[in-house]
Formats: sequence, structure tokens, C-alpha cells
Amino acid sequence: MAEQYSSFQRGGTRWLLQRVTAAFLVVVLAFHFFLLHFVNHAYEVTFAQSAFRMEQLSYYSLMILFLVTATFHGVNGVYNALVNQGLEGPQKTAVKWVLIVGSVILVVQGIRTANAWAGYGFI
Amino acid sequence: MSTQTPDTKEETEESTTSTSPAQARRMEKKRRRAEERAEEAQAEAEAEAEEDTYHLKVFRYDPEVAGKQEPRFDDFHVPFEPGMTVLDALIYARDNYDPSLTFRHSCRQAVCGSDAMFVNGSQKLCCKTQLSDLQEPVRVEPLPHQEVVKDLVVDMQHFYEQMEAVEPYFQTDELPEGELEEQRQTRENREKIKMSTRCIWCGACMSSCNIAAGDNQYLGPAALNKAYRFYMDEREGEDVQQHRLEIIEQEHGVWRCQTQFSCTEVCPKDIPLTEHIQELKREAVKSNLKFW
Repeated sequence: MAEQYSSFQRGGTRWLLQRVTAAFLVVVLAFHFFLLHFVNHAYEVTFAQSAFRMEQLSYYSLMILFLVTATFHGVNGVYNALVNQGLEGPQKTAVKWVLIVGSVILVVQGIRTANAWAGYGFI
Repeated sequence: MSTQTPDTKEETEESTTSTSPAQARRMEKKRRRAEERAEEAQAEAEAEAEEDTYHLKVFRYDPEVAGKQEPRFDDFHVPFEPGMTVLDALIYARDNYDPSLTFRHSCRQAVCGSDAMFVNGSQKLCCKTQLSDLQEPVRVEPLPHQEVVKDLVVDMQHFYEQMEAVEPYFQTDELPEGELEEQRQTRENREKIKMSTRCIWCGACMSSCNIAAGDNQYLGPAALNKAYRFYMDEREGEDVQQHRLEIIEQEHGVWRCQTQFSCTEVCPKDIPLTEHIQELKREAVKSNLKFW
């Protein structure tokens, strides 16, 4: 009976990464809300301030990490929720690739925006 | 003693006493009073029975009988006795009211795992569920998320297939040296797997699991618990352990568990199923992270 499951990939790495990114995101999200909602209020936000923050390498790298981990966590979560609901066959493959392509576009566009903001040139 | 004897006696008494009219009136009065008393006693008994019965609403369905193809609930009022379980009530209803009422049961002592049902909205083993703990009317339904064969009987085939998939039997390539030597287990190890050995294959956990409901490939809590029982048994050799890990760490193995704890809640043997599944996840991650 065990053979019928042998075609599935091992899910251990994704499961672990989902937990690790969750722990990371809790901290970074707290920082994000603290800085951008409580310290700097929405009506005070200016382009110059945002650009200044992004020019700091520490902030820039944190935002890139934030972007990548949040995208992975969100997309992997949605995919797993759909698999839990019994998504399988060609639909599963289609959903998987739509999510992968979507997240790649999101990450690439996010990095381009961050670069533009930090003054690294709009690549 | 023949039931006819007293009647004939009464008849003879009546025929002898009918000679005196006063006597006849007295006898008439006496008879009426006796009738009244009997009526009162009967009414009392009925009222008592009304108080001491349990109202069961039982799911009925049979695709092979014209009148039962449309699922419905039947009402049964079962006389209550202290210590009565839901299974006792069902047996009473079947034996006294409707012999066509169908449900699985065997040992009546929470060992065989035949009579897991959906009682008042949760998976219960009927033979260890006291009627007195339940609110009336007691709704008895077949286990959800499995196909109903008839009345309270569900098709367990899928459940058994998942159980077989984890190879639920002891396998080892490490035998003790002496021919007659026993294959001993340490007390600590026995303690570790103790709870997981208690599974009676009733299927309550699998039925309560939302993930197993939507994903038929998911091994489910019972099968994963069985895998835990053998994976954690240190008498099984490393090769067998690796083989077991490969089965449970596939996409529809341990990873589908969302730690909902519904299986742990309903398990009639109090097995900490969710914890066992989490422990297997950790084992799988640890073995995957090993690069030396």
C-alpha cells in the first residue's frame, strides 16, 4: 500500500521553512507596525523620509528579507491550504505554477522598487 | 402453572355468589374499585416510564429499501437504567422496537472499536458513552466523512487502507543472538510508545479530522499514530526506521496535520495523537537536515 504515495515529494523542508519564516515574520511585522504605524503616522509619511530609510543598508536588507520571507510564507500557506482541501492532479500543478510565477514577479518587482527607492537605479 | 386455572376458579366463585343480590352489588363495587386502582397504577407506571426514558433520535438510511432511501431520523424512547450507555440504548431499541436498526458492535467494553458513532455532534465510542452524560434528545448518527452503508454503519475500507499503508506491524533486521533469547524492550521505551499502542482502530479520529475529510490521500491521525508506535520502538533496526520515515514524510503524510487537535479530543483511548504527529514531523525534519 505504501507504494501509492511514493510519487510525492518530501515536504519536510517547506514545513520547516514555513515555521522559521513565521518566527521571523512575527518579529519583523512587529517592527514594521511599530515604525510605520505608531512612530511615523500615515499622514506624516513623505517620499523623502521613505527614501532616506531605504538608503540605510540595514533597513534595505531587512526589507528585502521581509519581502522574500513574507512572499514564501504567504504563498506556501495558500498552497498548503489548497492541498489540505484535496487539490490534486493537473489543477494542483497549475495552481502551484501560478503561485510560483506570481511570487517571483512579486519579489522581482519588490526588489526593483526598493532599489529605486534606495537610489541604486531603477533596474 | 397454567394461566387458565385462576380464571376458572373466579368463574365458579361468581356463579356461587350470584344467588344473593346484596353480595352481587358488593362484588360489583369491589370489582369497580379494583379496576380503578389498576387504572391508577397503570397511569403511574406510564408517568414513571416517561420520566425514566431517554429520547434517542437515530439516523436511518438504507439504499436497498424503498422507504429508507431518503435519510431520516427515527425517534426511540428507551427505558433508562443507571449505567446505561448509548450502545445499550441502541441494542434495546433494536431488540424491542425495530429489529432492522443496524449498527456495528461487538465487545461492549471499548476494546474492539466497532461502535464509534457521531453522538450529539461529536465522535464517540458508544459503549463507553454514558447516556446520563448526554443532553436529550440524543442524536445518534454514523461517523461523518465516510460513506454510509446502512443506518449507523459506515464504509471503513478507506480507513483500513490508510492504516495498512503505514505497515502496522513489527519489523526488524536486528535479532538477538541466542536462538531462544527474547527481543527485549527497555522500560523507558515501552513507556514512550505506551499510549500509541492503545489504538483500537475505531476511526473516530479520522472522522473528526477536517484535513482527512478533504484530502483522501492524507494518512490520517490513526495511521500516523500507528507509524509512531513502530518508528519509536527502538527494537526496529535503522533500515526499517528509515523505511517508515519515507512513508510518513511524503506530502500527504505528517505534513498535512494542521494541529487542530480534534483527533486528540475525540479519541476514546485518550491517545495524544496530535503530539505524536508533531513528534514525527520533528523526526522527519531532523533526518532531512542531517548532511553528515
